[in-house]
Amino acid sequence: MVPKGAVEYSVHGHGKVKVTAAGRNTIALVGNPNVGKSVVFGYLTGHYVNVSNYPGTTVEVSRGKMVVHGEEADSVHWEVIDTPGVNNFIPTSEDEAVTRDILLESTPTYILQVADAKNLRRGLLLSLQLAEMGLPFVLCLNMIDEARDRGISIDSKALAKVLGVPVVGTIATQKVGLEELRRRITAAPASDGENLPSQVPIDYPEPIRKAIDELIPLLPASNGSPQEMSISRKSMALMLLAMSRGSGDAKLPTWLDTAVNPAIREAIRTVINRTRRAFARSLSVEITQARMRAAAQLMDRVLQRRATSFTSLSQWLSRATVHPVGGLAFVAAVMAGMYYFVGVFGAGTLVDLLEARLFGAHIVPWLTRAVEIIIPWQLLRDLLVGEFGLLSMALSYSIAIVLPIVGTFFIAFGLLEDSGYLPRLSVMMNRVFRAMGLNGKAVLPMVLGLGCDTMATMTTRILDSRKERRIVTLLLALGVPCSAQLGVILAMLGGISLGAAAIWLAVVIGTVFLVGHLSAKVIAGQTSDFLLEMPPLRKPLLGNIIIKTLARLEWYLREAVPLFFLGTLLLFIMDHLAILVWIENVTRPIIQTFLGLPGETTAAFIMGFLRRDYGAAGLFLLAREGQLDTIQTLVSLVVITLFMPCIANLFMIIKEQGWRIALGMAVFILPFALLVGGILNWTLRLLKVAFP
Amino acid sequence: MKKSCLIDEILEAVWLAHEDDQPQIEQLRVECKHDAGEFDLSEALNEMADMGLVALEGGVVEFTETGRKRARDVIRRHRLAQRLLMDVLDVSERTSEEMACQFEHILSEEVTDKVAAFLGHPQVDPSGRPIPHGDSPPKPAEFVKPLVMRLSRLGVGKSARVSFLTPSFHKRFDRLAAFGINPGVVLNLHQQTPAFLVRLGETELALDPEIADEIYVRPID
Repeated sequence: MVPKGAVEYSVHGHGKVKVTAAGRNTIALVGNPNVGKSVVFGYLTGHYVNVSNYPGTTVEVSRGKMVVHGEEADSVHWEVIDTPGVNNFIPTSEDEAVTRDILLESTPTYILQVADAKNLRRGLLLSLQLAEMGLPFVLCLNMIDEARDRGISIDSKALAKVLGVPVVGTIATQKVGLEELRRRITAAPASDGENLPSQVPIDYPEPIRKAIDELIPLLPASNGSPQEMSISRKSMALMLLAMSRGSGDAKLPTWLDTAVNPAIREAIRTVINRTRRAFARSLSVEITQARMRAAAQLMDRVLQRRATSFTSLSQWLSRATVHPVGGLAFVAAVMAGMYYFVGVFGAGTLVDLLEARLFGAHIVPWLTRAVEIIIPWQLLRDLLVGEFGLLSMALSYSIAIVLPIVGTFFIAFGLLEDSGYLPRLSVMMNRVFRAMGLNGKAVLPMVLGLGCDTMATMTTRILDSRKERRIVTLLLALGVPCSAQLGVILAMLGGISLGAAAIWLAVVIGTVFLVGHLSAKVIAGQTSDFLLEMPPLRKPLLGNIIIKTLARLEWYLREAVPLFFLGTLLLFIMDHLAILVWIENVTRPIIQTFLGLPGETTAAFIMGFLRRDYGAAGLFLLAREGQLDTIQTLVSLVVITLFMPCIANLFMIIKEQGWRIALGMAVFILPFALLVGGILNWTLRLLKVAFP
Repeated sequence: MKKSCLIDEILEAVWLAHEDDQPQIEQLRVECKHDAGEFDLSEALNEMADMGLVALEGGVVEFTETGRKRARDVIRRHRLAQRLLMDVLDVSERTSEEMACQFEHILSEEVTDKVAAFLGHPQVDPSGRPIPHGDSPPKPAEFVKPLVMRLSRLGVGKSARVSFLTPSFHKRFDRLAAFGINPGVVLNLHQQTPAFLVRLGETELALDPEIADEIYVRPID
């Protein structure tokens, strides 16, 4: 099939997006947040994308291929696009704009709408809009088991008849109904205007109906060719009406500005302005409310609700976890659970087993002997198994210390994510985060930051405003230690006393809070509303946790291990060229006088530039050799915790925020971390604090 | 200024003086004098005594039965208007006081009773002074059940139907609408702290108290 010519098309008006009419079949998955789109995507394509019980986890558009076994051809590939969840195709956030633009710009052959069967009305709000656009789609009613438990049954045949599209009930996590879904998608590919959904009448207020009638003849016929999908002009007219916000003259999207002549442009603008004046509220609300009414009416026709006394343990727990008092007990219990699983079992038992028993006693000595036998050159021997050796240091460190800690953390985090506890934690933390110019939603990236700050920095996209994304990115870079670092730090603090651990925790949390509070005042922009959907608590599925943990570990190792090797190589070179000694001398006034630390810690801090956990591990070794007293240990740990983000994280900040912001954060964080460390050092020494 | 308005103003002043237990003529303060113009208080009082609204004895002004009823209605209209403006429309105290001074002259008895029912028959005005009842006192059940209130005032565990929304900006309105929080929808309030938790259908939403302040609901049993 020859591409039907490139169409220049852009809706929100920053530049033109060039879209070539696809020569292959594409399916776009759309739906409300947290309805299971990513599970369905995973099933259709065999690709794993992060699946969780948290609304808005999908922050990137994923693309995958679905193999379709046709009857004649051997196999055909269809492209599948997973999109961020939306509650409306009238966008109120970047995510929603992204999803709408996929529908408008990448002209999918077919749309697969995934809806939560127990929240049918909100799903139908989207279905009605798809039908109005005239886009062929399949409706997947997911989680029919949860709907059934709540006494809800849906007449999917009747629904299919009204909408004019196939409707399939599924339980995606258990793969129930997914094969049927695949069959329905591939059996009837949309073609030549067949399989188009039927229009469900929506009772818009009179001035809007009139505006639609007037706008339709003014709009350009989308792109001419009948094979290509494009949305109906009625839907386009409604989109234009809904887009006009605020006061003043209506602005037209750029593509429309160029597509029609000035006279028509003026006519369109006149209609929009006149319609807008007819209502006290914005047109988008009028339109959405009319659609919502239609969705509710449709729902009443197809949905039966049986009275059930559905009070399960999960509902009781759901209440308890957000209870003003009981919820705090839950937070404490979850933290304690994480501490024992990650801190004690992962960083203690497992690290001990791997590092001391396996690597320390067997693998490293064995490798050292092997290298000494095979390689005659001393320099190369040092490079591999010396003090800063690639095998002796980088390999054992990344596998024996980091892997068990990060692995246990990701298991724990996966459990939290899939159980649906995290949104509840958001509720509990909302007030605290408010003081930092954030809202409870920031809990997800902040907690994930305890696993890996780089990953968490990427996840800041779930936040609604740029200000919030910026603050969270800064706080992650500054004061949220990743699990590898945290594991090492906890092990060292445990070696001193509970009091030292408390001081470390208080200084770090205090600093994060202070910086958050101040940056909320400095960074321009608005804090967004806390308006979060609470998904039901669910029992996490073991298989899902395992897949998820493995996917994250793979990502982590791919990101981290090369950096361990690079860092070790760098240290090795600096050591051999005596650069290390030189830096130690240059930084002496800061490290040794101001912070009161021995010169050897400099190497650890340099490593901290590459990875903070690597730096912490350097400190760990120094402390074990008795080169740090308790105050020095505490000060060095506070500094390394607040220290520069690791290289990978820095790259992610550059990617998400631009290099100016990244540089600005780095310039702030480095001296600030040293300053806090210095103040702590002098305070502890002046007060003559001693740890038993 | 119309004469009936001036009479209303003086009746109001007399009512206030009685509330303060200082019914002496020299204590009278005609509060809403923004358009009262020049008038002679004692002359006006004498005129009102002739009309059978007040009785003047020994420097003290007392209501007659007719006068008390008329004064009561003026006060009632003023204070209800002020509650409506402040509680529901979020108008500042100063403006609402000024506006109430005008409303007290124009609200019909029917509208006044509807406003009272809408507000759930509040007992006191925003500054704590009692709001007198009209001719037919409300049934006891109606006291505790205002027709429309902010979601933030709805008790925990109570259900209510959304009447209208007054979001501070469009985007909030759009997002609430897409979650299904629209006029006519029934929701149940589960919790108020640390955040508001509401359930509508099978959707459970957590929201800030400020948002709950902007959702007006009509409680249902």
